[in-house]
Parts: sequence; structure tokens; C-alpha cells
Amino acid sequence: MTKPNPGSRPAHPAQGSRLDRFFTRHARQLARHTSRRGFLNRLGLFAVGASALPLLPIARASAAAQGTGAEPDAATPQGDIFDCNYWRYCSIDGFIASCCGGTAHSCPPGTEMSPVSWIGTCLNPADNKHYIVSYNDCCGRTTCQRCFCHRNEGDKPVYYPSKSNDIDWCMGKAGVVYNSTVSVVIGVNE
Amino acid sequence: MRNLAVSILLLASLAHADVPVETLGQVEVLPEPFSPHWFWASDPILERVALVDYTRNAVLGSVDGGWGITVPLFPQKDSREFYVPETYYSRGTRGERTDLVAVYDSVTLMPVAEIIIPPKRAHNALPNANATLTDDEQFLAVFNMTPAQSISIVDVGNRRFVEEIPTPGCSLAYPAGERRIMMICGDGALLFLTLNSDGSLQHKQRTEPFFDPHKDPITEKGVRVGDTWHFVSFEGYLYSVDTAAATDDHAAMFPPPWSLVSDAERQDRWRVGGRQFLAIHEASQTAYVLLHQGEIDTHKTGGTHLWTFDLSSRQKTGAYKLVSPGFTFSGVPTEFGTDWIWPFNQLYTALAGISFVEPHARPDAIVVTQGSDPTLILGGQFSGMVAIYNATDMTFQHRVTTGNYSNLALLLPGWGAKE
Repeated sequence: MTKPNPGSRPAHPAQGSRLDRFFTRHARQLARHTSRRGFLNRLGLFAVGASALPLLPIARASAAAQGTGAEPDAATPQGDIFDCNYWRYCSIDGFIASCCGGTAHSCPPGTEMSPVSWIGTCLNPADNKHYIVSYNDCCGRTTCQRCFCHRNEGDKPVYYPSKSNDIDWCMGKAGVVYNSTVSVVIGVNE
Repeated sequence: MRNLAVSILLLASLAHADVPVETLGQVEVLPEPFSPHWFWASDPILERVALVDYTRNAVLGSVDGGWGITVPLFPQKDSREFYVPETYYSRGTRGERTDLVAVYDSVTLMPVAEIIIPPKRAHNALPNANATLTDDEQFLAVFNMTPAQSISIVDVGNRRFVEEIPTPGCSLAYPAGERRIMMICGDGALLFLTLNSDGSLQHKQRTEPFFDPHKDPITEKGVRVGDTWHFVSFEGYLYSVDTAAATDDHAAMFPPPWSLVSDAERQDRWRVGGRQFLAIHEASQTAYVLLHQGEIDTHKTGGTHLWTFDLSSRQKTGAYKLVSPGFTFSGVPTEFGTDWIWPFNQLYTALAGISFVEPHARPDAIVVTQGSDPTLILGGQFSGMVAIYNATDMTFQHRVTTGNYSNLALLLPGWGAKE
């Protein structure tokens, strides 16, 4: 989870090379419906690995506890919530809600947060701890098209839902229409 | 006065027109017999799939598929119709959700029937395996995820939804027999569903795990040759599944996997990657695979190179640096320069080469036609166009425009005589 990913790149409009911005713009257009993600928690992970038990949705958004660890300096990529290299975006593949009217952990106005998600484990460089991050999709509006981030650390195939960011996690009452993704810290990986 | 004169001249010219008067309201149908040179390219931005003739660089038509990636399913025994799983909301992005299987006439490209299914269809970034026809082509299986996993069975012949089969812990849908469907489970096992003649569930059979999804998961991008499914893992191991073997005969069903990447190549960071990075030419037993040099977690990154393998001898038979299929500008496919004089006709290729610098713009999808003179089609999410190769010697032929903003899935319908 700590390996730098060559796929990650700055996506804040004010940052990155001309080439980055050129392709970022295309990525935004493209990724409108292409990949989505996120899902349950560690419990779900065991369920996937161990048995044929139903993978019941587990509402993470309401249960999510905010991280208590220190955040990196906001002037650094690791601390910039508009930057794909922000530490907690390590397993993301989608538009970050921060660029779409939300924050790193809240959805844009008018959308609904998916109650189910996929899970990543990201290293916070400020305290050198690994945090468990729930990637919930923001649903009900068409794709944001800003700040498309594609890091995929720990991503698994679709048949391994709890770790798969290729799944459209806008499901059930939230509908399938995907707008963006939040990265909610739900605990420290001891 | 001048206007009057112009009008008189115009009428006079019409009266002496050499072009015959034409009938309004004409609409084309696809020419028969269908050509083996046609492929479909799916675009989630335009919510459609376009039909293209790669020999003529001609778009022949398109089908709209609603929200997500449109992936039609094409029967081989009777190609007069095909099926499109679709999702719609009554008010665009809100309101009541309806999922259905639309039946299309292959000649007119008009929908001729609809079969409503439970509004649970799985949506994800995969170009395949979210639905399949059974081999008897009587039933269509649609993978659902709510996130509870299940399969909806549709009787396409009788135009009716049959039933929903719960498949907890197992995902996707691959054909595996007359009325048999294969799914991949989260623990590395397979689940087989066998249907009765009316489409209802006869029984489920689950194998023992044959790979470790924690250490080195197989990708979902499987390719079928006869009774065998081939899957490549993140680390480049080829796993084969003989679906004709008994599900409790592990050794017969799962031959030992072998690595497409040698130790030295792995040391050089060569990895498989992409959305449709594997294609197989059946008669010659040649596997085509997209590769790039990258770190762990770059399994979705497209290829800079294509390697070929002989599946019989398990030997690598070639390695080719790819020509970029093209690039888009502000989402619109670009196309220029092919008729310019040398060396200016090379300008587009040079510019398109930029796509190899940015990992996400690399070509990430291949399909290969069957027959004695196979063609390989290379596309990418951002490529706008696709590149056409002679698959026998991997020489680049030309580029073809699909009209799409993005090409997220390339599909060969299997139409026409094999050449």
C-alpha cells in the first residue's frame, strides 16, 4: 500500500503538466460511467474469502468514525484533498468528491452517498500509520468530470467485491447513477 | 425582381436536373450476408454500441443501450436477432428504474421485443461477463449485484423472464455448456449453474478453490476456446479451466497454471494489464496479450507492447511494440493526415504516440478474428479510433474510426463466414 503508483497523478486544475491536464480532461469525459467501486468492511472481506454466505450490505457511512491521526501538511500532495496523490485516495478509481462540491469524506449537494463501499488501506505519511478507508460513491447525479483519480492500490477483481473499485457502488435506493467518490477514514489498521 | 429571376433560373435548372428525383424517408438495413469484418465498439459516454466495418473504415449503424456499458450478446446459430441488457430511469437519472433485455433485429437494427427483468443488473467497468447466452442459445443469464449477488434467467426464445437464482459469494456469468453458466467466487472457486429445459435451476455445483484471490487473483477478462476458459492473473499466470471435466475432478478441470512472463522479464517489471488484454486465435492456438512495464497495482494499465504465445507449446512466439490506435481531443476522435504526402502522413502516428507516455491513454483492449487470415483490432478508452493489425505477422494495417467518444469494449459478433 505504500508503493508509489505510477498511475497516480496530480489532478487539481492548478497542478500538473500540460500533458497531464490534456489527458485529465479526457479522462473526466471518459470515466463518466466506466468504473465504480467500493464496499463493505473487514467483515465482508472475511465473508468473501471464507464461505458462500451472502455478502450483505453493511452501512458504513453512518458508522464511519473519523480518523484521529494527524493530517499531512496541506501544502504537500499528501495533504492536498484536490490532488490524486492525497494519502487517503490510495485505492480510488473515480472522481474525487472534493472537486465536485463535497469534501474528502462528504458528498456533493444533491447526491446521495452509497451505503455500501469498497475498502482500502492507506498509509498516512504524517503519522506513518495505515488507515482503513471506505470508498463510498456519491450517487444520483451524472458524473462530476473533475479530478479523475486512478490509483488502484490493493484493487481486486469484481468477484472480490469488498476490494473492487471497478464496481459501481451506487446501488439500491441510491440508484446506479454515479457522480463521484468519497474516502472516509473508518479506523486504524492495527 | 432579382428574386424572381433567381427563382425562374432555379426552376429551370430543376426541370433539367440529371439527378433522378428521390424518395423521402428511406432507411438502410444491413447488407446480407453479414460480413466477418464487422465489429462493435461500446461507448458508455454516448450510451451506445457502434457497428463498424474495419476493412472500409465505415460505421454501419449503432444501438443505444441505456446507462452503463452496452454489451450486446450475439447468438451464433441464428444471427437474425441479438440481445442487449439495458438499464433506464423514468426521468433520465431519477425516477423508476427499469432493467430489461431488448431483442434487436440484426438486419434492421430495430428493437422487436423487450423482456423486463428485476432492476438489479450489476454495473461495473468490465467489458464482458456481466451477462451471457447459454450454449443452446435459448437462455440468457444476467449477473445482478445489489450488492447481494444473483443471476436473472431470461428465456429469449419465449421472450420471458424465468427466475432469479441467488448466488451468494459468486459473481459474473460465463457460458459453460448447453444450459450451464459459470461464475467466479470470492474464495477462488467456481460455481456452475445448470438449468432445466424450462430455464429453472436444476442444480448448483461448486468447485474447490483453484487460485488465491488474496495473493494473485485471476482477472475477469477470460477468453473461451471450446470447452476451456483461459484467465490470466495479475502476476501473469495463465489459468485454464476445462468446463467439460467433472466439478469434483480438480486435476482434470484445472491444469497447472504457467507463467506468460519469465523470471527475467518479471525482474524487468513486465506486467499484463488492460480492460481486454487477452485474445486467442483458436485454430493456431495463438494467444495475444497486452503488456507494459509497471509496478504492482497497474493491472488496469493498458499495453505498450503485445506478446504472442503458442498455447500448445506454452512458448512465447513474438513481442511487438504497438502503434497507437489514435487519440481524442476534448473527447472527440481525431483523424487527419492519412492522405498527406510522406513524411507528413506519419505526423498523426507521431502525435498519437503521446498516448504511450500517459499510462491511462494507452490501448487497453484487443480482439482477434478467427479463420485462416486473422485480424487483430486494438483499441483504447481514449483512442477514438482503433488500430487494425494483420494478426498473423502483427503488421500494422490502418486505423478505423468508430465515431465513439470512447471505446470501452470491442466485440466481435461472430457473424459471416470465417476467412
